[in-house]
Amino acid sequence: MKHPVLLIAGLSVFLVVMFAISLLVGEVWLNPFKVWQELFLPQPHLAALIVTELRLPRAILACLIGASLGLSGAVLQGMTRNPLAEPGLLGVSAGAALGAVIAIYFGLSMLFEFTGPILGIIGGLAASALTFALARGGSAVMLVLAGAAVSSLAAACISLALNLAPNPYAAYEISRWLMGSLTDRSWNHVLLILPFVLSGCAALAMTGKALDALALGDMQAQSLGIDLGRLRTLIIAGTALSVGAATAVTGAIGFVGLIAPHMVRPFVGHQPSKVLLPATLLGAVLLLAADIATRLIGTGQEIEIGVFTSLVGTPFFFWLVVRMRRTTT
Amino acid sequence: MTDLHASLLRVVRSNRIILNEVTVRAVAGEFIAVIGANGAGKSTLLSALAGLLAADGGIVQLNGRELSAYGGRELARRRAYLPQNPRCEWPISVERLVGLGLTPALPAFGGWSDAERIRIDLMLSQFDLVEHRDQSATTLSGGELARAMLARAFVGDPNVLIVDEPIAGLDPRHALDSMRRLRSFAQSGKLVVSSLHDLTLAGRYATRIVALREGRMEIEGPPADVLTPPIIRAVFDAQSIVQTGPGGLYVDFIDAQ
Repeated sequence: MKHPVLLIAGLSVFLVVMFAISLLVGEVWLNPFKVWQELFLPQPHLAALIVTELRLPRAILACLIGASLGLSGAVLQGMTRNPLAEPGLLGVSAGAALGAVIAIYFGLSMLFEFTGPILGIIGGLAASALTFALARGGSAVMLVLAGAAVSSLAAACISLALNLAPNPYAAYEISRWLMGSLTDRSWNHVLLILPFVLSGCAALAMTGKALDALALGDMQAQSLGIDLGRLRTLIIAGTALSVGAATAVTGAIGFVGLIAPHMVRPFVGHQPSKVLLPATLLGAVLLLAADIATRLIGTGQEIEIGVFTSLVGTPFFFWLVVRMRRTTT
Repeated sequence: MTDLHASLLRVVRSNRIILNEVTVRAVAGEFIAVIGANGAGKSTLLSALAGLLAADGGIVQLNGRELSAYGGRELARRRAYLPQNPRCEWPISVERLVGLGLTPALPAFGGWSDAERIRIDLMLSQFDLVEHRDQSATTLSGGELARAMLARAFVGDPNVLIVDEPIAGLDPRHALDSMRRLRSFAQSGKLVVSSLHDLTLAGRYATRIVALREGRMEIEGPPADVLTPPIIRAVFDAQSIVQTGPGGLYVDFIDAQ
């Protein structure tokens, strides 16, 4: 069963297929051959426009965000050796959400379209810096507790913003944004988060060897020459940059970071470093699939992707708890 | 020649003195057993000797150079450390677990070289783990896991092995097996420092005994000199009978009440 190369190849093919489907499916169904022909016509046609201006940026965003969530989830589960760990754990998502909510609350997003995402990125970085400062020198458990404290603080501030919202419209927009959405995102959003996502993922990708050694616990990993302080810095900075930027443009999208590492782990012999790449790919595949599903489900109002992943992901959480109970008792 | 030297080591945690000016020197070929009651500072001494803990006073030197002057990987290639009850937290294969001992020699990306694979194979056969090679490490029995962890410590060919309570929870056969392996490692010109609760085994296998009491070095010396009822009473606050039987020296604690 242990064929990481086959797994990675399979996931890559799957990713390409999902990406292509994502470009063609939606309110307007497109014929791939027609789109291909129109792409090369001198005058822009509707089908080509839908693909290049609406669906392509949306699909790329889904890939970037899903990949960030999958990778960061795999790294965090490796660091904490806790299968329930996920990117929201460090307070990054809540911090990014708070940043974006501040932009909406004060009407800053009216002044300049990208105030929301930019404040979101700043919020994510600030929240993770606070988590890091709070947990400095402590264990992985300490880090998780600090992350929970920071998340609670951010959540309290978001509630306050909802409570004091100047008008019902602002409250509606905030709660709408908190659901997590990929609709109406443009190339500018892609360009805005791309450098953050790439540098964050690069930092996270460097943790593999240390995560393997951590299978033996903190003390043995340290005795094997792993610098735990440096590792924690890499993980927090990497998560803040990648997931923080992702959350800043789409709102919170849960469960992808929790599920993706689990699904690939048995296929790579449970070795933490080998989980990283497949979990990244699967994260992108899952988010693309969820995005396609929200477009296909025929509700009057489109279901937001964050809501969809939560609905589909929660049963998985139940199953995980039941399985853990069975194996630990 | 390996020479591990701690002088006037002092460790304070939450205003409690854990180690109080402990000085120990150990050289290649020695198997040092650190004994003492619970809370006497054995584990702390071992972590400090392994360079895993910042002392509040005193220094630890390996071959004349302070431990803190070594890089993490540089030190990791020279000394191996096993904590109390080492566990594997992912169901990785036994082969992988043993291979983790090579972490300091590995590049950031990429796997084992051929020479490293041969070394892992050698460890698997020396520690009777060949049939468990592909078994998940979390399903090993206590004795098998203890062997796997020792193999993981030996695989990088360190000069110093520091191991905290290696036989805690092992049945007599596996405990003897571990002690024999530690002794032969020391006899091959390496240095072993280990904390032990079983004074009989400490007396039979160690070359020297270091006794701690409330963070201070009470006494050190060859087993026959240290393991006497008066010293054992001073270290453990317990009455004992020390005898030499057919199996060698043995220490029996008695209820004086």
